[in-house]
Amino acid sequence: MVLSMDRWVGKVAIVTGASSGIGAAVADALVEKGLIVLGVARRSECIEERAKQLSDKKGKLHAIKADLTKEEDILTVFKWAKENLGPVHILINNAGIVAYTNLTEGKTEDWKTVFDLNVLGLSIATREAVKIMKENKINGHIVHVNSILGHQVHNYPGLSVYPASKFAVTALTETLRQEFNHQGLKIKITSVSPGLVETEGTTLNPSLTPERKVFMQKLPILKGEDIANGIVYALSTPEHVQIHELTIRPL
Amino acid sequence: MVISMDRWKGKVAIVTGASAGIGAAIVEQLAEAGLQVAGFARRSERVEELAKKLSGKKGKVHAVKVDISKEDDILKGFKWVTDNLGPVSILVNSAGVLQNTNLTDGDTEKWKKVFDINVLGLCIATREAVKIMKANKIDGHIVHINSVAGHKVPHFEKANVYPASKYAVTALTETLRQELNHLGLKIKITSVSPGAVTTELMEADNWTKDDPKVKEIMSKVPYLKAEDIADSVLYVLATPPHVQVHELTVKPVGESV
Repeated sequence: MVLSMDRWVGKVAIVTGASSGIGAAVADALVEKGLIVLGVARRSECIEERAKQLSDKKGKLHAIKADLTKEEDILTVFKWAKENLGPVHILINNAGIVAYTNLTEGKTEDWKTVFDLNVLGLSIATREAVKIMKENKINGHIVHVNSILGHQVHNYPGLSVYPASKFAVTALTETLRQEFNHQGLKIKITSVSPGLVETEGTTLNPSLTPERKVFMQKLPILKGEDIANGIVYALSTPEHVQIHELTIRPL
Repeated sequence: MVISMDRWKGKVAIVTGASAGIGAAIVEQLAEAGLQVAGFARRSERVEELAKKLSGKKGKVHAVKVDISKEDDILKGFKWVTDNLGPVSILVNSAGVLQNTNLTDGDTEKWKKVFDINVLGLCIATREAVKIMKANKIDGHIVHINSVAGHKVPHFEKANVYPASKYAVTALTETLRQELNHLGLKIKITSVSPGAVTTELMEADNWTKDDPKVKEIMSKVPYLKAEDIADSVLYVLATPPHVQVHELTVKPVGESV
């Protein structure tokens, strides 16, 4: 096997939405592999807690407080990383939300938040990461945490604009890949699309309605670490191999 | 990491199209992982050579002469495996062809060959594997080697029915997943879709010999190695029992199609 995380050891990775769920699992996995990881979240104290527990690992976990629906916050994150840790090599666009509402009666604010985070925040963070990678001639890797709902609208009621936001991520993945090609950049982009994962966005969401809770408990489910493993696999491929899409479902 | 090939050690895997390219690379990595591998191919002597080369490995490779376009051959192949190695746990449908023709002026026999191997042969082998897994209560894993052409029609004037055959594989992946769910079976199905890989796919129908223009196009594109796809298949197989990698699309960096 030619898979290896060796070339990323000691390098800087930024993981958004690192306070819980998939983001936390990925951040922790990368620290174990020896990377310098900057975990970004509004609840940065959650990341700081885990950083203490991971203090004996090969890598290191740093926390920074940011609201990824605000461009100024995203710019601050990248500036801080550049000045304190070094140029970013890996960006994991994991921060995302589901607004359990609908299209026919929903509030604009709820819809706006979903697009601001899942699409715009992802695009801004990506642009900033690529800027740094270009300046430093880094053949980096960007991972968009997408969803199976970014490829097909399954019959789950009350998801409103979430599938649309993830369809956008699917399109952004290929658009970005083509841009990299046109510019002759050897940066990689991967879309990882999970099915149902146990996170605070789903089964661990404290504000789930009883009906939704019952509905979800009947379904097969993945853990954050299953997605983290998929992401580490994608990152460990040789420089000429681009994992374009990795769709992971619970059996 | 909970990624491990351990639970497949000593188990039986069937790989079609094992004589060259992606199939051969997969056979090699499965043997290294300690499996009993039956390589199906028309050129079984190539698989025998591979078996000799891998004789020191933890697993073992057996060559089985099978023409995937013939149902009889497939049934005989599966029977041989069951009788001599045991019930199959992993099936990798890697046999596939691309024929030098087109749609507007094309050769029916060539079209038929592509569908017989890429679609029907894959379905027959899959059915036989599932039959055995059901009978032996094996939570097995089936991998379809698909293509990027199974998701988007590439810009290539001689693609003819190849993308259509691979679109069929994409649909068959999800159809099978739903069927397995309905039957309450814990068998996994994965589609691995590579971009251009250095294999014998093009040589097999004399593309570059007949058409210098094609040769020129093919020499300008970036390629993956067969072992890159074998790595992907091993990752997929090594996931825990509750995790199903549904689709894994692997491109060479800089792919333009």
